[in-house]
Amino acid sequence: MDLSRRTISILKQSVPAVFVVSIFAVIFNGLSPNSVPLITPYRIVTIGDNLTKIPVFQTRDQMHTYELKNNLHPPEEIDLETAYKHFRNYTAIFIDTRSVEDYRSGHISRAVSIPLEALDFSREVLPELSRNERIIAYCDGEDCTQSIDLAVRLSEIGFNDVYFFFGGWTEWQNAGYPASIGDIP
Amino acid sequence: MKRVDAHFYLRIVVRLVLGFLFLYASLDKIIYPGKFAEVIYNYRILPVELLNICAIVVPWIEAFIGVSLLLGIWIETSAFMLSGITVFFIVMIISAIARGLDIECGCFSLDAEGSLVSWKRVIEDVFILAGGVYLLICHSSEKR
Repeated sequence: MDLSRRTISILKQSVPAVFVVSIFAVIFNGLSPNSVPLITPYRIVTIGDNLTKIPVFQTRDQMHTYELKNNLHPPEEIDLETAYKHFRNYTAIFIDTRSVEDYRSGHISRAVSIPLEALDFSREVLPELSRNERIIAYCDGEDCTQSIDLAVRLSEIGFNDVYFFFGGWTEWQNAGYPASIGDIP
Repeated sequence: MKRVDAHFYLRIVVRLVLGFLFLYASLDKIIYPGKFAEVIYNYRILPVELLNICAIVVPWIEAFIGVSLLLGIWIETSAFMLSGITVFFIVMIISAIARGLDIECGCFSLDAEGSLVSWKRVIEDVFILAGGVYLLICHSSEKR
């Protein structure tokens, strides 16, 4: 009896405390240079037959910088054969979003290594690439989503012909398509 | 002469250690809510829309708990909140391990080289939870 009374009493103190702290947190976020929107913005990406919401992690400043580009074509999934066709014809740049160690142990030939965590919005990303370049991002295979995340982020910063190859390294390797080992060619 | 409670010093140590841990854990997340939102997203538990608001509010709750425990005010409330939030963290980490996710824990820092989810992190959190429950019991029995 006493215990439940104490629990209710602590709850009565905790709920207003959480409420006040939350209000303070929201105000602080509004004033912070790294503030983010309260509701996470997202892009809807088609993966197979499903529509998946991919969050866009940008500060308000970054969103303002890129808001004019929001009408760009969102990234799309690409299958193995189409990816290979682009590889053969040199019509796309492949980006390996896995860790540098994974990249070194084997990757799609001519692919560039950009681990997802290395993508930094505070700096110019891929300065040597035209924003109209066709880009195909990939990771390990269907168990990973870094390729989708990176594709969405690249489209957010102005790349307008971005694809994610969901089959990834696993499917490419199983098909016996050209692969390389070691650092960037 | 005033009789000193057997738990008196232990209680102070536990309170200060937990207070420091929670305040420290909150700082990086308060400064970079966007990065913390990414860490939460990787757990694949919350709806996408709620990631930012959680990344904004949770670190401040941690900071509140940390400051309260360090200053020795609202100890019972803070210990209660600490226990609740730590149970939530434990459930998040165990669910990530169970699903085979190899993701950053986001427990104390948002450093890319920070610790990944693992049973070690669960054990750490269980100790933190034990500390919170200990403070809660001590202060509740004191008030009775």
